[in-house]
Amino acid sequence: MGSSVLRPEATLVDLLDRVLDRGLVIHADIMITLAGIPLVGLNLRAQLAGMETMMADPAMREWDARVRARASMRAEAKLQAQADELTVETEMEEAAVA
Amino acid sequence: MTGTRPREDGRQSVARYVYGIVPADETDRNDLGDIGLDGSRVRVVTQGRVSALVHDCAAQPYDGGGESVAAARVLAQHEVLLLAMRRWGVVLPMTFNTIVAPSDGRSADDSLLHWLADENVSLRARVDALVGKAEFGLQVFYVPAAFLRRIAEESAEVRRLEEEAKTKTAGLAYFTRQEINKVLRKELDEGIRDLVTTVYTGARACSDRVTIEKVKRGTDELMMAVNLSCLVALVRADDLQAFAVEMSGRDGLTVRLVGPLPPYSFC
Repeated sequence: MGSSVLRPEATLVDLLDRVLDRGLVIHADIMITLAGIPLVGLNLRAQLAGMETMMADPAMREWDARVRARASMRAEAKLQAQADELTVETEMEEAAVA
Repeated sequence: MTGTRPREDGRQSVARYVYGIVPADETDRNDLGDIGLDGSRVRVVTQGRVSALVHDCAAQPYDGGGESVAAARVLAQHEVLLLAMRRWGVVLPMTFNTIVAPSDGRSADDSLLHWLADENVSLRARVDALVGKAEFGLQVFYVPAAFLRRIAEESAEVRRLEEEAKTKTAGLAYFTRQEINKVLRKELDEGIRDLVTTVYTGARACSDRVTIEKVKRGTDELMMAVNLSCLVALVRADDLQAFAVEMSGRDGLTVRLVGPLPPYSFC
């Protein structure tokens, strides 16, 4: 029987090709892009070339998960703060109207 | 717009790093916080019907810093785009290192605003086309030994040759076993082709668009047969997941479904 791994979270390996090679590429004079300066992309890819092998290491997977969890917590906290701010503003407006 | 500010390394932040484009929202132009590359503050620059998510940077690409820094930057870019998807419901991702530099006597902010104004209609159309959709990665792996075992059990040709080998001398049986291996390899290739077709057809049925990605190197124990990127309407994401679960129930297959991701492959 096969096993199913359905994951909402992408690993670094999932993201490498997508973040580095995909996305909208703008051809305009005002842009400095990866496409405009291929060596930059190559250099970055070279730095990350061993990442797929590294991600097989449980320690690296833990690091990846920790980094993403921290980023996610920061983002959630920021959203919560914005929501709280809006609530306070709304309450103040309501109090002013009353 | 904010002015330029010196970076910690002393270089002037005269350029703007662009993460992606979202629909303009009159009520929500707050910064996204210090979640960008190297902890940069990500802010919203609006022009007409679209907004760009940017941070201030030096007019040169992000490079160097070693493996862990590069990896952290890739993750940071992804996290910014994920947050944008949650906040605006859609994001048009830019490729890594998309940086607007000062040009022809214009500041980077002016250049960015002019570009957003010039491309307003087409950018908004691209953004609108992605509303309510996300990218999913679907990978199907197979265990070669299990695949070959099943073929050997199911192939009439292999069974016939195996019976034939039993009636032969050791020397002649060797050549028959060679013939069996040839048939197994051929049927393995056909089996993988059928699997690829089945997975692509099933994924296509619940996706708006599907791209076939390069198959990654596997191991002797587990080989990747199919690697797809699927653009899926979120209301149909359960269908894709159900298909993945169905495939994973097949003998010798392992299925990996990752998402929802920003639509990197469908810009």
